[in-house]
Amino acid sequence: MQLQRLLELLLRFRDYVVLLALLLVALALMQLHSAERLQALRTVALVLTGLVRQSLAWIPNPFALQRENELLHRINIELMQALMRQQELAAENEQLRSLLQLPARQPLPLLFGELLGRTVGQLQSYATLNRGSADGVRPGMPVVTAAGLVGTVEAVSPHFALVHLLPSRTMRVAVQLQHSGAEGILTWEGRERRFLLRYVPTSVSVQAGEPVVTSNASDRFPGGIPVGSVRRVEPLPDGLFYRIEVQAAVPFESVRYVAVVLHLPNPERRRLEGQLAP
Amino acid sequence: MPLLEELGKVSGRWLRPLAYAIAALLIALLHLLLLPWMAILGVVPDLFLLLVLWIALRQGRFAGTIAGFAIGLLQDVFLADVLGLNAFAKSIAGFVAGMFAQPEDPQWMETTDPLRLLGFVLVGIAFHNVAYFLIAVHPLAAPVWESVLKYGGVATGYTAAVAAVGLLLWRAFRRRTISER
Repeated sequence: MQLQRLLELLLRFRDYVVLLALLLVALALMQLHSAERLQALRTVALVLTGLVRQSLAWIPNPFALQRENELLHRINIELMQALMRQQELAAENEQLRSLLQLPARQPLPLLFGELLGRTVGQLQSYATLNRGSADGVRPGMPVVTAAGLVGTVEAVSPHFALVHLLPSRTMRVAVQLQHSGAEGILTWEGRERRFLLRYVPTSVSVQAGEPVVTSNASDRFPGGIPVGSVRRVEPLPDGLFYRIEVQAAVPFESVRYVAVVLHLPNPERRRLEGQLAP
Repeated sequence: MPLLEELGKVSGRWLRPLAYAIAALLIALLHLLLLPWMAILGVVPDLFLLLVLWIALRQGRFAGTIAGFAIGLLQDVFLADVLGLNAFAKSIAGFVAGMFAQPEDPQWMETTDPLRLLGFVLVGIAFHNVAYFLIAVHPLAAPVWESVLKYGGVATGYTAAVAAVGLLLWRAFRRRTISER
């Protein structure tokens, strides 16, 4: 009798009960977001979206092509200038390192690929790359272009990888100002190429236009990858730190050809740093 | 003939959810291929949400809530968002929009003032975006409510603008088909 009454009550408030149950399931899924079994589900979705994008990649996007063309021309000129300067610096660096008897630096191994398409959610952006675990791509590897850092590999299937792009609300990158060497954390501000650099003390001199590169303070990315340049600097009301706006070097909306840096964080270093974390 | 009528009823019952499922997949395809080029402040018009609101206004609160959860989950999986986030927000949106539905009158959406209808849609969008952005902007360093208003405002405006255009087109189409009959 009581069970019947309970059922009647449930039926009477059916809509509320269903809403409550579904909200609880959704919250539970959010908690389990990074669980291994759910990652398998994401990999299946990645393969499906990758296949769809690959089969439709022949459709040209005139806006993107025009922007890409302009950008490539600009990058070409900048790279030629940078190359000339770099050759001089490399020779000088080699000389100095040999004088100090330091071992020569190894270039980072790169794997080139093409982004098949972007997925822009609300404040998250991803892209599907046509390279996967069969090519040696692993989650956590940085993705770059000639201009700079694009994002990191988040999930892989044998022939595709999901790249988490920098303009995403959960992205955090340890960076440093190239001239002063001051380090900070880069977060996305919500506008396509606009980022915020935090925790740089006002004791350091920072100028607009100063390049921002990845820092060696974190093992997530190899140090020295260009990220962008300082757009605006102003001290925070507390007077201790700056609020620095950074303009990203990569035009994320039109990036197509990229390279995966075949670098993974050192597990030994991560373990050690993990022990120190509170 | 009764058998045919019965078959028609059964297939009719299944056709609508099937049509909604196909619409959801087509929207997923649009989101994957076309919408990234239309992003404003990193936000695109949420066509999944418009489908949920449509189902809720057509079918009522119960169907709207379930459709919101299912379509939100599809969005989470295919657009690589935090699993459960869109399911959460869209369940709420489906429930809220479903409260305005009048399932006893199948023609109510055709006869209601379009501005009133847009108002119902706007309420659904607003509830969705507050629920979504309250959770989504949490990792952003800016003050939460400021970010919710900033990004939620853009998302609401953008999605509502697309909804208004869609609504006008649908009303014009319906008026034409009714007058042809």
